[in-house]
Amino acid sequence: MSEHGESGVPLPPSAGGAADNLNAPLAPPTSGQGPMQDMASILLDSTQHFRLDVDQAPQAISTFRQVAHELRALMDEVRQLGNVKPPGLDAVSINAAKEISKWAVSEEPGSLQAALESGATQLDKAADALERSLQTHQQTDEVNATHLRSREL
Amino acid sequence: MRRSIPIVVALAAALAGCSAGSARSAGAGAAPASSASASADPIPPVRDPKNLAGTPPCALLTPAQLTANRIDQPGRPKDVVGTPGCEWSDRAYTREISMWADIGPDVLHNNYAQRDTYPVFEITQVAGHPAIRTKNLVNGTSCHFVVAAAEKQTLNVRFTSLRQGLEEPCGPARALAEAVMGNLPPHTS
Repeated sequence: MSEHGESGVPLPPSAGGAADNLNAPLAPPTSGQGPMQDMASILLDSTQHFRLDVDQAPQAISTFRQVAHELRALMDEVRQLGNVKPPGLDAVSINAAKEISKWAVSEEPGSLQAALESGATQLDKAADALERSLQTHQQTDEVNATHLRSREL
Repeated sequence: MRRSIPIVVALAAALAGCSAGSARSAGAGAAPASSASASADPIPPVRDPKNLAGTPPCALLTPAQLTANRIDQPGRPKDVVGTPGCEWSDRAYTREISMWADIGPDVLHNNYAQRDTYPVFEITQVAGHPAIRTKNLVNGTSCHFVVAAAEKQTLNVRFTSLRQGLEEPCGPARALAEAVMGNLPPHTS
């Protein structure tokens, strides 16, 4: 169990500790504003194909925007953690406040605030792209319906 | 030997400015480097203190100011790690404004200590009050201002432009911060 997961697949060397599990999602991106295969890049790439029920599209757009909004709220909270007040004047409280502040405003190139903003922007771009696709689809539908009606007459 | 000290200090200040990197902005409101004293406080004192503590966050902007800023939905109170705040957005989903008031911590000095973590960092002034402008990403859609209303009373303003490429976020963020500062009553200690 120390080297293999439940499925028998060898675990990576860093998969053992709780600290690793917490740190993994917070790892800064390697470069740029986001990972290579982010959601917006898939949605905006004409060579990529995906299928979405038209009836579900408005809900998907709303969900993307809601999550983007929550990421920005988290961005505000992370920023605020940089100003966390020690709950007491003892050394433990002061040190805890200092450590939380340090964690919140990492000096890594991709800080947590930047990663959250980047994620929110990607989700908004995905929502915008979906919204445009939906509008195009609805316009095409209307044109086709008008065309059919004129032929029936 | 005595005469060479100011030159060394000025050179050090100039080099420190260069080390900030090309992405870092030093706009018109940036604090000038002082050759007289390298250890001088980079954050100027508040000369005209305003009371930020007595106003609920969702009342920081008047209805007229919100309308002028295309906000057509009511403010939503929020909690920012125990600090009360408020956020606004519009139905067309073009902009999001978030504000909260820090009473107690010395936010501007804390931010100054964290200046290396922001790709855009500028010491500036908002309505005559010391302020810091930051962005998390050079081309990001969010811009953040912290403004010292009074000693240890700080206004936090974030403006996010939601439709890609429509709006540079720091102009509206500054205008909103100025509007709030104009609304605040004087601080009487």
